[in-house]
Amino acid sequence: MAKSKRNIKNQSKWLETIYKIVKEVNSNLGLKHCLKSIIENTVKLLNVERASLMVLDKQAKELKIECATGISQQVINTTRVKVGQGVSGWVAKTGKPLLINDISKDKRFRPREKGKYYNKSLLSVPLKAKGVVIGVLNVNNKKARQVFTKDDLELLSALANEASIAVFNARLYNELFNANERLKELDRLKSDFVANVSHELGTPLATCRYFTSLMLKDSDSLIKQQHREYLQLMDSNIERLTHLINNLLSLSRIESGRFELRRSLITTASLVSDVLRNFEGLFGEKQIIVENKISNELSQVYADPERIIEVFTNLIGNAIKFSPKNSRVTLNADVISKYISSDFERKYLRVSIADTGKGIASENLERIFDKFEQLDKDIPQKERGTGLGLSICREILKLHKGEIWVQSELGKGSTFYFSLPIFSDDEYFSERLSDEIKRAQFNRIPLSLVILAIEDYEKINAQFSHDELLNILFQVEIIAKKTVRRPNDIVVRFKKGEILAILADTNKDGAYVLARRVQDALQEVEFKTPQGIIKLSFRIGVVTYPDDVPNETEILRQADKILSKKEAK
Amino acid sequence: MIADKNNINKRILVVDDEPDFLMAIKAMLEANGFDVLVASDGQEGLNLARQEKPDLIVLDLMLPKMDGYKVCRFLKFDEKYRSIPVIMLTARGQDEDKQLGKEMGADFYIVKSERPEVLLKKVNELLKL
Repeated sequence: MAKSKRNIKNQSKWLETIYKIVKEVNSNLGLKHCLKSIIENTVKLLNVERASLMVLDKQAKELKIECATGISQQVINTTRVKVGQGVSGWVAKTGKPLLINDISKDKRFRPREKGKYYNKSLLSVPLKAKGVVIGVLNVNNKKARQVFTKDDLELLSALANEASIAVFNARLYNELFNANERLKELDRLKSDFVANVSHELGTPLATCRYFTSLMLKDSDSLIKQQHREYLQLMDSNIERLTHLINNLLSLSRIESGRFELRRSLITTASLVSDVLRNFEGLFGEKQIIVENKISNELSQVYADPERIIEVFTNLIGNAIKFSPKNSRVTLNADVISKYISSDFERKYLRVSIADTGKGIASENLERIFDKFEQLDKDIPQKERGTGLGLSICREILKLHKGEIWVQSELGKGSTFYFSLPIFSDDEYFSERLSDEIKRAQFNRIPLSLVILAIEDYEKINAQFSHDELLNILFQVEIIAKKTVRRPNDIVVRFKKGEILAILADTNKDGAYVLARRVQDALQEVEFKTPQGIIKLSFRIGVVTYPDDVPNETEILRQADKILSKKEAK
Repeated sequence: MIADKNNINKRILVVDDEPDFLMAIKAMLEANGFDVLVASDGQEGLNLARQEKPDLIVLDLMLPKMDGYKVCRFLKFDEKYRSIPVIMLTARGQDEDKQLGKEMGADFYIVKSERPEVLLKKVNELLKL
């Protein structure tokens, strides 16, 4: 277990490094491309044979050639010029441009190698960002063999200015990128720390809990009444601490981004009745009447049942805490529609939990979802929560592509709402596929997507009424489900229902065996329809992770490809 | 304290590497009339399970020498010990652990931070008391 976790950690480090390199190469490519065009322009505009752009390494205090024309690659790679040394070094040091007609007459510099240069004239300008030198742009050898002029200097300065911006931006980008990576790492460390500490606190606390509980239950012992009360206090404080630690763990795990939802199709009504059963004692204590109006008929949602229970537990717990004695808490749910882009409307399940407590002031409505925010200071210490409940709820819903919000009026009570998306069949399929791939990655097992599509679907579609067609497709699904046998294999109907997708924990060979078995079974069946008996033929396709595709987007693309190949058998 | 008479002769093996917590569980189970055997690492736990064939095993997840999953798998894949119910116990509430525990054949999974009654109830249920 620990070992496989380490492997996964290593693997993700490795992936991260690759990702970093790609990013860096990209940003450097952008810079290289930009500098190259600046050098090309320099050569063209000044009509020179040699131009070089040098960049200053602040730490080493030296210049190296970043981009050049008319200079051998070896020179480009090996040249290092100390600040203050030679012409470019002088420019880098002083930050001033240098236009020299005859270098042999300039005592500041050594004479240059003969043969390489047409004459003794040179031009060199600094690259500056915010007044600080970041490099040098040099030109040599006018093609017309003339000396450089003031006009040349102005032109080159303008070009140097452009180059400065490019170099500066690229550096800024790299610095930001690195700073961002460091922050991410720190954030991970923080989450790990919280998780570890919470974990380490767990066992000693559990030990205390077992012993206090044992002593409290010991009815014939001679514990003094007062001591019994002390024990009860210990017990309820252990409870609080446990609750706090569990919340911290939950939140740190969610925030670390490594939190994986275990989603399945769930019926909200049955979850809620489970949660309410756990609260029974508490309702009685304050004589709160709970009215549960959540209907059994509502659509299922694809969500992590444990996490949704956590949301309900937090919200109902709050409702009880903030409700006066003898009041009422009402649970309800309905389906709403929301445009998530201008042309895409999605359905959501909207759940509400309404109390008749003292309500929340409007200026605090957003803040209550923040970490450690506890606005009601009148609540007795004993009943105070951790200040984490609502922010956990918000994070959980965010992971589910849902939302949480509140409507409240001081003195009248609060209604908390949360929404969960109701996916279309196709959306459900791709969400499911993405979950299954993550699971396969985690468990290091292959995952195959087997596709069976009805041949000549258009003909069949035209031949039958909508209801008849649905009936046939439903039968197809049932037969496929029976044929796959293994309970872990998932059968989903998608597109318009003419396509069956089977997800199975198997490699390519296994998947083909499965595909043919289902294909044979389906092609043998005589479907009874009002228009007589028909037979269907199916074409099959298999895509396997990780053999064929690296991720779920690719798996879907690949699957589409298979489906569009009509002849594929 | 009156021990539950039904529990007499039911033996439970508890495996945990935290001595204080081990004692806490032992005390709680004994107070409820069970005979308790203890082991403080996975290897010792597995040996004791094979030797003594207890009626039920409470098994911590993170154990020295051999982790709880392995112990569980050894027992559950062996005809002779398969029928012994195993309750996995861990300080973490991680769902991935829960999943793995089930795949390894654990009969139930309990987080240490849950109230002791939860464990007791499950023990009674699995022993059909």
